[in-house]
Amino acid sequence: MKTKKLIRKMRAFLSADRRAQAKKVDSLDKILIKLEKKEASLREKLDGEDKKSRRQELLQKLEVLEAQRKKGKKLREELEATGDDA
Amino acid sequence: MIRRILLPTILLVLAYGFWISPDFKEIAAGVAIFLFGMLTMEQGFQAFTGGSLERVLKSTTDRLWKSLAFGAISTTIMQSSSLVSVITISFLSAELISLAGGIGIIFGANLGTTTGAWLLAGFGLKVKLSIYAMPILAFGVILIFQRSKVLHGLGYVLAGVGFLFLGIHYMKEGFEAFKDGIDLASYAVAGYPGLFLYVAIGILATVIMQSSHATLVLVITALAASQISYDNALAVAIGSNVGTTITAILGSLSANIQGRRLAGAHLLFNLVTGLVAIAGINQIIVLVGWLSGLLGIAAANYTLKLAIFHSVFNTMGIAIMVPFIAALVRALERWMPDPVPVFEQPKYLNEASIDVADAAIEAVRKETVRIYDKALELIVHGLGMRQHDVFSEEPLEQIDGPDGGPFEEGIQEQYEHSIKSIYGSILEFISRARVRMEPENADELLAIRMAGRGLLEAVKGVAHLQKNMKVLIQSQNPAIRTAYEGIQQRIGRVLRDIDAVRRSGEDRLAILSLNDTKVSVERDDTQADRKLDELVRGQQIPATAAASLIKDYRYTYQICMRLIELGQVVFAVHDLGLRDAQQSLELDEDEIGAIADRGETG
Repeated sequence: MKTKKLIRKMRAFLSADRRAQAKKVDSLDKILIKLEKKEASLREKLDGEDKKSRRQELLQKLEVLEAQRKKGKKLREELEATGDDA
Repeated sequence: MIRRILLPTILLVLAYGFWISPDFKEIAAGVAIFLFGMLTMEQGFQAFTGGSLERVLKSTTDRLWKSLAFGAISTTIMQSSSLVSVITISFLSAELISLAGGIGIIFGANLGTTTGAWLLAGFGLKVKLSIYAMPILAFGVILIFQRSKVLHGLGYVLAGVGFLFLGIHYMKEGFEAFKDGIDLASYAVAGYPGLFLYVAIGILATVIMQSSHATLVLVITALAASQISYDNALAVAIGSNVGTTITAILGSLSANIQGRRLAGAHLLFNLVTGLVAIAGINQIIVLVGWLSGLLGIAAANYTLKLAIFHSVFNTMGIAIMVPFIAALVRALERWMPDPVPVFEQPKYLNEASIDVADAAIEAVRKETVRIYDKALELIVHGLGMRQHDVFSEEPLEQIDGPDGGPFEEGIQEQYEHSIKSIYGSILEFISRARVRMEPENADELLAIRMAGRGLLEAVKGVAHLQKNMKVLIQSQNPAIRTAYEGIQQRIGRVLRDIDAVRRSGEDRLAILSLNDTKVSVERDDTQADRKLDELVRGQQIPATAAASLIKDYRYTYQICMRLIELGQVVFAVHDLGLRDAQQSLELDEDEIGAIADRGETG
């Protein structure tokens, strides 16, 4: 297990593509975390909102956010998968 | 200052004149009716422009003799050299005729204007013109009420002629009565001082009345009533020829450089003609006497002799100036060169940054943001809104229609001079920079280029949208008014969202929020269409307004989308990794459409 991890790290160090990919995953993670926090904050706002038009606005934002998160998660999985295959 | 006090002074002098002399009142009314007749006739001729008349004019002014004849004949028909000058200026501006052709028309018009003196001297003063004026006016007014453009225009021309005749009648009556009061002839000044004094009076009268024809009418009627000496009347005629150029000069103030050159040629021609006439006045008088004898005109018939004098000195002027037309054109082009177009220059694109990919991309991005700022101003003001309203915290619904702000005029010109010219520089810079770049950097430049093109389309869209909005946002129909206010709010909301992204700096999520803006644009578009359907079905708005709205909703949608796309590109975060990650999360058209549809059905 230790050797396997070492080989993976070496491979990452030597491969520029792999480094770029890792950076991509890292950036994606940062954004996904932010999106998650924003989603929670929007839900909180939605719970405290009574005005219909404002609720609709918040619901739309939530829907867009969910779609973006879903897309991000899928992309992350694909990146992970290609990383493991390499 | 002078301009401000000129009108009240003229009004006061006129009022004083009316108070002390009923005859003066009649003369002034005659001049007023005469000038009104000219305006009416001009309006009538305008109905004939825009098609066949232009084609005929073009083919009749391609040679010097043709343009001279055209100027002479058209002025004879219209009895207004000013009108011919103004039309000629419009032809020059539209580049339908050459400057030399235009000058030929003006020279010919000077000859044509002499027929006015003949008509008045030989015909006008012997016949009671009001007899003809009344039926012509009646026919003219009936034709004005016709729907046909030709008949409508002809009506105005006839009414104009009627008013001209009526004006002449009143001026004549006024002078007849005036004759019993004061003997103007007793103020006659002999020799050159008198000549210069009356030339100045002629210039002044023509400048005030904006018509050499009107001055000639005055002088001929005064001459016929022995209110003015023959010599002094000749001097007034010379002055009127010089003074008439004022109309063309005033007309050229709003014209392009070609129009100004033509006004310059007009002034030069009339000055030279005037100077020649003053210098050779005694010889011309002898020539006029000889010609009068030849034509069987009595030696004491000064009014007809004045008409001959007018024709003789204008013909002399043409004979002197025609050989120099080509030289005159060259001189005018040298004195009044074509203006160098003032196009805005790029601020960030420089040679130093073109070789360094990051610097080149940043320069292009900043320059595109610069044109975005210029476009923003045009879009906001072009749609009758104010920037501080759009970017305030206040709900956009409170920006109320025409009261929001005046509609910015000249969007097209501003677009050409600033936005389009800078975008042209951006295109040129990108095409040079990208050949030295890695493909991924070149792609980034291309993305900014596309965003810039979208911005240009958005501004053009606003120019189209403005045409209907300016009028319909003030409609008496509340449904139409609300629809256009809705358009303002939709675009305002997009601009507000983009501004929020811009102010967020390196906030990792800001740019993604523009996906939400896109969903709103889609949803608003669908809702607006649906509402329009309801309004049409309920007959709450006329079909013409509905057609305008359908087109304008399309423009609105495109403007909003192009602006968002620009925002997504130029206000993205600088960190390449984060930017890539953000872009990969951005929703595509189908995903946006699906969310918008769910919102509608849900």
